[in-house]
Amino acid sequence: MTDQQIVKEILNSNSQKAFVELVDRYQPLVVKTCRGFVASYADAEDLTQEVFIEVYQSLSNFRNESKLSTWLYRIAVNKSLNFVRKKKRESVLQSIDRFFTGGNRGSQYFDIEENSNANPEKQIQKKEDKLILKQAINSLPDNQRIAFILSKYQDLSYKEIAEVMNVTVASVESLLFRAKANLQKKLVVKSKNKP
Amino acid sequence: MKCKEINTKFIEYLEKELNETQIQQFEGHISTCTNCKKAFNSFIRIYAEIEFEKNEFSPDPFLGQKIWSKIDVKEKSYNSPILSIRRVAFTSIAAAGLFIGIIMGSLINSLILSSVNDEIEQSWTLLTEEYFPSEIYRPYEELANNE
Repeated sequence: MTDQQIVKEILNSNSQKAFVELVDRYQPLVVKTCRGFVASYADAEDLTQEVFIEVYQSLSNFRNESKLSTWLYRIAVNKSLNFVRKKKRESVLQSIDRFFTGGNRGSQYFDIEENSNANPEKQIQKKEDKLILKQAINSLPDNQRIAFILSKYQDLSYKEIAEVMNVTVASVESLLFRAKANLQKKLVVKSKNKP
Repeated sequence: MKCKEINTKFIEYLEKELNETQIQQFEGHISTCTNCKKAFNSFIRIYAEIEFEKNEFSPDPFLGQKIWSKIDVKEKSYNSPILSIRRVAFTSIAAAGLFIGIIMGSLINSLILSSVNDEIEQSWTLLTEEYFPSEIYRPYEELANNE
């Protein structure tokens, strides 16, 4: 079945089979995109579910002017950005709460998942590396962040990124250049402080 | 290349965006400068997390079913007629109660006010009669007679 047929099937006959096929086909795209923004795989999976629910609910608004994948990227990016913003707000509130209640945990708005198989030292180092990477990526301005994640996590071409972001190819080039420069600055500072 | 410049070329080096001369200069510097080497090694480790996260994906064969059942539950809760009738009934009863309450309140208030006003008027009349008895003081009649 083509994408258009799947969409038609879902809209016309509310077909569960067609919807499941849509999810199976685009699951990697959505999970990997969300994964670029969030700190844990579990969060990316939760977000993926939200993305597909939104897709189902607003499928009637989808016009075949753009590719289905482009539309899915946009929804996944928007959902992820909102999720990260929400987490950030919660973390600010928690740190205020800790300040008044005298808690001593540092401000970390990313819950990095742990790999129980690795040895403790490596595990801690990996956790720190993940945290540094996510903090650096999420400190980039939205447009640079989106361009960087679509390029690095999805290996999309400049043209494809331009379609998703609705900007010119030249803008994507510039966004990626600045994103890498900014990320490098942040990561170098952090990596100098690490063993 | 100096340390400052090297520190801006890490990503470009890893993504093979440097030309031959730049690669030689970069590698030459890294092999002799301990600080840059240390920073570069940490950088490689952190940056490699992107690849790790990319390859972390494992497809969930039941994801479509899971999401479909969630959608189904949501749709049912949206479309449930009993719930909506109940909601409408509750809202209407509450609104009607509020309306009746306001009407009753204003009626009682006006009744109390009118009885209080009557009492006040009566007491004023009595007081006036006591100090200025109508048998003696007839100001309007006197005024009419003078004219």
